[in-house]
Amino acid sequence: MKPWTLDWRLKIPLALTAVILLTELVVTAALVTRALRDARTDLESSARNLVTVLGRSLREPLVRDHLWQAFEVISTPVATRTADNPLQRIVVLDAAGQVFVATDPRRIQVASAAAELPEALARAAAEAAASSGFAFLAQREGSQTLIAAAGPVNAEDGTALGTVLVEFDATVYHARLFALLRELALVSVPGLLLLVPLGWLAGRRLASPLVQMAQALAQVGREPPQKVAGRLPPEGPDEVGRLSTQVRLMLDGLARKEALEQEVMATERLAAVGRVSAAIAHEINNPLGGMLNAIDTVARHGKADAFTRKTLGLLERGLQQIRATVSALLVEARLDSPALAAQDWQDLQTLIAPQVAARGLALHWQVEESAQAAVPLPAHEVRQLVLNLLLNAVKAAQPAAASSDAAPAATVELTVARAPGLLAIVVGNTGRPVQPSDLARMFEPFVTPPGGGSGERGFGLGLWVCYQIVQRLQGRIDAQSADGWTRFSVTLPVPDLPAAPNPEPA
Amino acid sequence: MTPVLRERNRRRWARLLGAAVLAPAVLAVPVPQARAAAQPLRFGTTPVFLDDQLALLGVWQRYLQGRLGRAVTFVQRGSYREIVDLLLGDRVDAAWLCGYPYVVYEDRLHLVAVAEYQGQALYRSHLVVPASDTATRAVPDLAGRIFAYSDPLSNSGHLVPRVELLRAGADPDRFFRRSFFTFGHRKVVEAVRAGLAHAGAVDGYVWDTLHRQHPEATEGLRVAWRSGTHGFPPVVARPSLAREEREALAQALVGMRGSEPGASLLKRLNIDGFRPVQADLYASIRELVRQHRR
Repeated sequence: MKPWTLDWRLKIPLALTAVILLTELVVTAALVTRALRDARTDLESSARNLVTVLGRSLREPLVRDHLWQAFEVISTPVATRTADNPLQRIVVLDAAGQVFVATDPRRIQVASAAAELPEALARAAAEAAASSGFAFLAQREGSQTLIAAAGPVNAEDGTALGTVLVEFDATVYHARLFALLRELALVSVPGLLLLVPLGWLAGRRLASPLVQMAQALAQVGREPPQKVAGRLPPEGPDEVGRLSTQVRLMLDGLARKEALEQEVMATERLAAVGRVSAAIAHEINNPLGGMLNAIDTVARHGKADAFTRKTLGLLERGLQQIRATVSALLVEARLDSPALAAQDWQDLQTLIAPQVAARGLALHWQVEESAQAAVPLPAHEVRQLVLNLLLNAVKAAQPAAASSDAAPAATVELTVARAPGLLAIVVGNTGRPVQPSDLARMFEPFVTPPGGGSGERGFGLGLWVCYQIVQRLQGRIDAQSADGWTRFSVTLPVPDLPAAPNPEPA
Repeated sequence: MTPVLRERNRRRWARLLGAAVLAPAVLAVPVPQARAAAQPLRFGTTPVFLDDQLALLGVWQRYLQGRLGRAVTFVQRGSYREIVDLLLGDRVDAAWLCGYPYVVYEDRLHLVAVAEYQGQALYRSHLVVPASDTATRAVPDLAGRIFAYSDPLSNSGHLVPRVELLRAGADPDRFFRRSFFTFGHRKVVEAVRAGLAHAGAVDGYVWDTLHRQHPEATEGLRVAWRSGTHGFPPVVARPSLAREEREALAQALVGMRGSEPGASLLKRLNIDGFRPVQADLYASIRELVRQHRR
C-alpha cells in the first residue's frame, strides 16, 4: 500500500510522529556535530596551552642540559592527569632533533634519534618544524587515530632550543566522546519516548473529526439523512466544523428532496387513480343512463305484469346504487355554485349536530371573524368537502388517551381562518394515533389500513372525494396525527379581489 | 621581644615569687652567651639524608632550639655547591654536608660531628639498576648506557663511580652515552625506576633508609655493586663560627642519643647518633679526590 493512500486516521499521527523523529534527529545531529567539534577544539586548545607552558618551562633545563629537571617538568602533567584526560606522553627534542627526554623513557629512550619516535609524534614534529610554530595533528591511519601536538622551545631571543611533542591516546579521547554521546542519548531518548506517544495522540485527535465525518457519510443512503446528520462532528469555525455545517445543509436538502419525491409519488398515484376512476365512471355512466331510461320506459308504457314490475324495480334500485357509487368516484364540477358565505358554516353545524349528539361527542366550532364574510370559493364543493371531513371525524373520534388533559372526552373540532390569499380549514378529532404509513395512503379510495382493525371498511370514498375537491380547487390537504389528535388541514387559495359570484372552476 | 628575653623575665618573676618548684627545670636549659643568642643558628642541609621530610626537620629544629637555647633555621638549596658557597660566604653557620666537598674545602671548614650508621661513621656508594637488569655487576659494565649521578659534589653519587671508571681505564666523560645529575640521591632512585637512566649511583645509607621507610620507592630495583667504605657525611661549620658556638652545636648533636626526643629523632633519621669526628676519617675520600684529579 502506498503511504499517501493510507487513512488520515493513520496518516496524521504518522506524519506528526515523523516530524518529531526528524526534528529530534536533526537537533541531535546538530548537537553531536557541535559536541564533536567542541571536543576537538578543546583538545587542540588544551594541547596548545600545554605545549606553550612546557615551551617556557623547558627553556632553562634545555639551556643547562638539565635532564632530570626537564623530566620533572614534563612528568607533572602526565602524572597528575585525570582518568578521562587523553594525554599519553610528552617528549622533548633538543635543537639537533634528538630525544632529550620523554615521560616514558623506557619506550622512548634518552638520546635516541627522532626517527624512532612513534608515527604521530614524528608527523607532529615534522609539521611543527615546517611551520616553526604550534602544530596539531589528528588523523585516521588505518585502524588507529593519531593525535599529537608539537611546538618549539625557544630561548628569550627566539633561538630554537628544542621541540615539545605531546601525544594523546585516541582510545581515551574516543571514550570521552562516547561518554559525551551517551549523555546526549540519555537526554534525547526519554524526550523521544515522551514526545512520540504525545504526537501520536495529538495526531489521532486531529484526525478524529475527519474520521467521524467519513464514517457518518458512509451511512448516507443506508440511514435517513437526519440520523446521518446526528453522527457528524460538531459544527465549528475550523475547516472540519464548516464542512460539517455544509454537509448538514446538504443532508437537510436531501431529506427535503426525499420527502418531496414521496409526495410527488403519492400525488401521481392519486392522479392515476383519479384518471382510471373517471374513465371507468364515464364508461359505466353511458350504458347505465340507457338502462335506466329503458326501465323507465317499460315502467311507463309497457304492460308489465306484477312479477316483471317487481323485477324492474329491483333492477332500477340496483342501477341507481351503481350510479350513486360511480358519481361519488367522479367528482364533477358544478358550474352553478354560489360563493361561500357565513350561512354555509351555520348549515354545516346544523347538519353535523345530530351525528355529534348521537355519539355523545364534544364539538369545538370556530369560524373566525375574517372567514365569516363571503369568500370567492364555490360553496357547494367546500360544503361537500367539510361535511365529508366532519363525518369522517365523527366516525373516528375516540376518547383521547388518559395522558392528554386538554380533551378528556372524545372531541371533534373545526377551525376556519382566513389569511391573505388563502382559506385554512382544520377538522380534527381525538382518537387513536394513525400510523405514518397509513397517513400517506389515507386519501386513496377504499383503502383498508393494515393495522386498522378487523373487517373495517377503511376510509371509504369520503376522503377520496375530499382529495378530489381539494385538487380541483388547487389547494392542499394534509393529515397529521399527534398528541392524541388526528387533524386534516386544508389550505385553499383564494383570489385576492372579491371574485364574481360564479367563479370559473379549474 | 625574643623568646629568650621573655624567658628571662619569667625567671625573674619566678624568683620573686619564690616558685622553687619551677627553678630546677628552668635552670637545666644551658644558658648561651647573649651575643650569640641574638642571632638564630643557620643550619644548612643537603640530600645526604632524606632532608625532604619537612615534618622531621621541624621536630629536629625544635629539639636543637631547646638544646641550644637559641633559634635555629634550616637552610636548603638545590645543590651541594650552593650550600658550600653559603658556608664559605659565612651565610650559614653549619651544614650537614658530604665528605667530598669537605675534603675539597677542608682547610676552610671545621668538622663539628659525624653520624654513626650501623655502629660506624662509615657508609658506601651503591650502584642501583632495575631488578630486570641481572647482567650489571659494576660501574664499568655500563658502557654506552644512560647514567644518573646525584650531585656533582657528592662522594657516593658522583666521585666514587667516576673513580671506578678511571680505575677501569675508562674516560668517565665519554663512557656513558648520556649522564645527568638529579641533585638528590632519592631522585637518582626515581630516575632509575622511571627508566630515565639505566643505572645510578646513590648514598648507601640513603638507599637503606628509603628501602626501610618507603619500600615502594625502591621497588623493582636492585643494588648491583657496593663500594668500599668512606667517612660518613659530616656536619661542618663555617670557618668564622665561634669555637663555643661550634662546640655547643656539637654537644647538642652528640647529646641526642642521651635524651628521649633526641633518640626518637635519630630513629627517624635512621642513624645511631652523632659523635665527635677527626679529619683522618676522610682519608679514603682524599685518596679518591687525588685519583680523580690525576
